[in-house]
Amino acid sequence: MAESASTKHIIFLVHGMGKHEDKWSEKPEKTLTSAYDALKPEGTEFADYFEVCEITYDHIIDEWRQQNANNMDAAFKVLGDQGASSSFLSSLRKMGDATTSDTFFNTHIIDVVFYRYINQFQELIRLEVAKQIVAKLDKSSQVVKREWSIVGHSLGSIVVHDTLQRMFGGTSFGEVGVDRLNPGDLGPKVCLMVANVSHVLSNDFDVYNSIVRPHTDPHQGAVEYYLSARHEIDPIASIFPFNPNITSWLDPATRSKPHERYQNLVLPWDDITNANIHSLSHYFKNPRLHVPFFRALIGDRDWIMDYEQDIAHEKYRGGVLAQELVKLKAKFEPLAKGNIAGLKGFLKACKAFGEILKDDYQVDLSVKGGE
Amino acid sequence: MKSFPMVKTVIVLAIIIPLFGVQSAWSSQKTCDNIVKNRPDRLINDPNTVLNMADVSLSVLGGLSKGKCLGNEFDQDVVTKAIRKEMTRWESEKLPVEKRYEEFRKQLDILIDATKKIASQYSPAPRPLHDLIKNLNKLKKQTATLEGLKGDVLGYGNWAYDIEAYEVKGTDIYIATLFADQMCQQNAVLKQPLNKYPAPCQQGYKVGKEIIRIAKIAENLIANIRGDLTNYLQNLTKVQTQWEQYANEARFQFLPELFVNSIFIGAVEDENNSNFQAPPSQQIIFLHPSAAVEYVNGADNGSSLELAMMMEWLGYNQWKWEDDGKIGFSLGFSLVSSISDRAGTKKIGHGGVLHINNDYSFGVTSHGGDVGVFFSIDMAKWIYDKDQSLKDATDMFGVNKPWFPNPGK
Repeated sequence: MAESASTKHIIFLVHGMGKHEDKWSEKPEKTLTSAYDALKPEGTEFADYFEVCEITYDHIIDEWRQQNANNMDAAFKVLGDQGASSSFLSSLRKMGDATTSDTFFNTHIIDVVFYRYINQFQELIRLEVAKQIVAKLDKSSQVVKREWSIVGHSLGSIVVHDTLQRMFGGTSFGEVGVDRLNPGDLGPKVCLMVANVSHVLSNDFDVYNSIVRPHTDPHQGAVEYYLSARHEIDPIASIFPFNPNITSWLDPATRSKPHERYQNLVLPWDDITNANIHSLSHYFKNPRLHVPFFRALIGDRDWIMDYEQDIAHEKYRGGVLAQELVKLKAKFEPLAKGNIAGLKGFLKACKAFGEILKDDYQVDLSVKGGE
Repeated sequence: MKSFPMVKTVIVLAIIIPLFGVQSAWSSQKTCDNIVKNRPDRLINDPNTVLNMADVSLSVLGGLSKGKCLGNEFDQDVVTKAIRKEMTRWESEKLPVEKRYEEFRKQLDILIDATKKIASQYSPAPRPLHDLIKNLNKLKKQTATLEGLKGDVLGYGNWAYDIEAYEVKGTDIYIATLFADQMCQQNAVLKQPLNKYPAPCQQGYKVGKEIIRIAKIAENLIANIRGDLTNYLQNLTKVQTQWEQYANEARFQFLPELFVNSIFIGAVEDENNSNFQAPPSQQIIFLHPSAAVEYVNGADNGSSLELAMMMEWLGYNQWKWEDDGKIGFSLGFSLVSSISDRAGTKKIGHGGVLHINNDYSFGVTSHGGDVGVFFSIDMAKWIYDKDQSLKDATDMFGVNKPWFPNPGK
């Protein structure tokens, strides 16, 4: 009898800052699929094992922005021009207007600030992401133990972290809210944080002391593999990189596994095939990222041998923007090494990066998200 | 004669459709054969490694296990296929968890019998096979009830093969011991297939395959019950509904209110629980502008009834949650100023406003001694759901503002 529900390993992709339309993940998915199929490990194809499922949550902040614009407009128009005569009302109005237009600031920076500071958005986004994951898993077949992994890109890295913490963390079963899920039964296999900003944007939970880590006891670490990736001169990922103290973050047994359960994947500065070095597709394209990712997804280091990775990387190097490398380094490296501390420095780097892409490379992130 | 093409179609389909199944089985078999055939050479081709036959055998077993070739969907083994077919039936018949549990018990017995049969082929049977039978029996005991199965069973039910520890997780069954024979410690040679390895290594490989397979089937059976998401999804949906109600059906929160209420929520949140929790059943109102229809006794004729802007400085709104996660009855109060352009009295009045059910607000203000009375249906809701009724209201009261906003149209 044919099985209707999927038994494949589901890879959820969670986007970062900015607007993301339906099917935003097509390009990164294609990049990932092509990379696997080019390697053809053990003669297999991507579709033999995996299914990609995109997760979208940006509509939550967008809906509020739209509603806010309309309500502000309605309330202040009652006064007509008089509203502008009071400096207080005028500033209140300006504050409302500031969030409405589709500038890079509003589509990207506001996402970050709102997620970092506003509880309502945090919870709505985490719930939306969890709901999409659980609904998809619920539809998949139970003929085999369900396997799934998750990729958080940029802002999506902290969203993924917090969502997993909500799903699997906590100290109680059934006392308050939704019972947590048992990580041993339903935890994700791989958590890949691309352009990992979860540390600089952490709020409710300490990312270095949460359940989102590998651990021999699933109740202390819900994921089997944690991969954190950043490009050396990606300003958004590298200004305050994810950098846990391994000896306290991981238990000794986990640390001693030959196939490393935590991998800090730092992509060298000159591995650049596109000016938008922050994009998910750009990261996925690099064998230094996708090979460790595929190995972890399968759970077998020998699935792709080191020499096979080297061959793939050599081929990848054929496509780097050789003529642009020095120029790109000169622009991005100072941002990645920015000297303003904390969230302010991070936001400044994001803004400057967006402006360089727009002015020098005609890549407008406010129109198209960082797919 | 007319029916002939249809007959042909049926015949062609009858031939093609089963071929898809054959194709799929053939393709999965090819994947598993590839691993067995190619991995030894791929390993030995790696210039950085020197491997013995035990290493190669164990790596192939690891590849087969992770490549879904043992106890999983690419496995052509009879027991695997039979139990898999059963589990597919549970799914297609949408058996409730209690019924599936009964079936689980039956399949567990079949699995124990199958393992005993495998063990009987060896004299003496290798230690890991004994350990597997012992563990399966322990599992049977632990899962004597459905609650037992949902509790702390061996290894939390994770019986996947750990290809680094060479162990079936959580069970202390060590596959590496199957290759303890000295002959298996000799270096592996390029282009020497597994079936040319010495007999003890071949036996270790064969037994290892069986153990990993049986353990994986057991894990799949356990996960079928423990991995049920029905209740979680229901509870999650309810909490999500509550947060959506908090965001959309309680009073709309402007930017300053979002920040103030975040601080408030942070202060009342139960920090010991990081699982999903319901939102608060109250909100603080802070710097909230909206429109109202206000009557000021004492304003000049023709100007006593006007649209006014209402600015709530500080207030509080509280409600009850219904069982379905929706907001029930709510009541709130704010300190307010109303601002309007009218002759014969002060443009700004100060007072208080009462909010009922988030939609309906009634208030009183004083414009330098002149009493103003206003009512407002929350602007956000009016604009989105009831913009026509706002116009009806203003028409009814004789309020006329030609620039009246009508966003969203």
